[in-house]
Amino acid sequence: MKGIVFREFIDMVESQFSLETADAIIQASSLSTHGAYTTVGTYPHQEMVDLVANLFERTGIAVPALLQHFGRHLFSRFVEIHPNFTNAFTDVFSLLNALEYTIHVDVNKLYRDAELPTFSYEQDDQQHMVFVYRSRRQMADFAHGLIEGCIAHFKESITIQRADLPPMDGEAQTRFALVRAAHGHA
Amino acid sequence: MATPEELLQRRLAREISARQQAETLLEQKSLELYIEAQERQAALQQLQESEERYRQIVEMSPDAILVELGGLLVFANSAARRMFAEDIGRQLLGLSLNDLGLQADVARATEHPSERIETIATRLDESHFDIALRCMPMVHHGQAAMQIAARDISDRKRLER
Repeated sequence: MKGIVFREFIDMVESQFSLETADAIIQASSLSTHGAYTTVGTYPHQEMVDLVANLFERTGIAVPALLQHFGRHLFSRFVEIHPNFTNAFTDVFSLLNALEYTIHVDVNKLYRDAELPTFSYEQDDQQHMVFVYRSRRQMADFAHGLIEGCIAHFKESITIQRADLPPMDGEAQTRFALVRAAHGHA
Repeated sequence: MATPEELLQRRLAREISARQQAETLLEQKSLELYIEAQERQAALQQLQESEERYRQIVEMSPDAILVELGGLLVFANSAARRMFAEDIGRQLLGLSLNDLGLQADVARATEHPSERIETIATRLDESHFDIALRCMPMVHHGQAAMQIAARDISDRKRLER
């Protein structure tokens, strides 16, 4: 997992909980670099699992909720760090549609060691979008949060229905069905 | 429980470590990019040398070699220039196969690539001569073109008559 995700997570914990909480979960986790992450580095995904688990232990907030919250937060941070990234899209559906064949392709060009989830699209029209998210990591909650962050960014009125599917070939699968309200915007 | 100062000290230590990691990674990346650039340069040089060898082979060929692109001749080797009596006032490049009396024959040859066709060609001084030619589609500067290899068979034809 890229270092930027770790850095943003720790920064989020520091700002939304406390420096002490961030330090505590770092101390409690088995981290290869003792919590020192550079955005251009790549680190074991298990370390994120440890950090989130220890944050749950510390705060009592369930892991899925923490991951979802982080996903929303990280999307807003991506908008701040890479405004050109979101400026290229006009709405939620156009951005999500570009994930598999444009955005992640470009990410792989920059970061050849990136292990990204895959998206297969099942339906796409003005009002509906259905796709299946697949990943070797149990990060569907995080993906859910990113989608929520995307919806909030574009200020659209879109509901998300989610169905966790049986794993296939070692990959967790989740189907997301997005429905855009008739008036479209929140 | 750690004091605020200790928390800040640990945070600073992590930042310093992260900065050092970044510097190491960036150095590695710079080296990788340098090596890639060197390899690309070496490959380019090899390609240029290969193209030069090909150019010399084509230029030294005793057979005339012409390349037609978009209806016009864009290449003619030394043998072709001699065969068609090119001189300062009359140049092959920019002419069409029709100017050499070969349009129909090349069109026929295109349907049967590598089949040898004997016909009569027109030199730039408007004299005629017997010629045997083979045509092969090729790519010239990224575009579909036709390569024509030709041999003057006038002597043989005279003997046959």
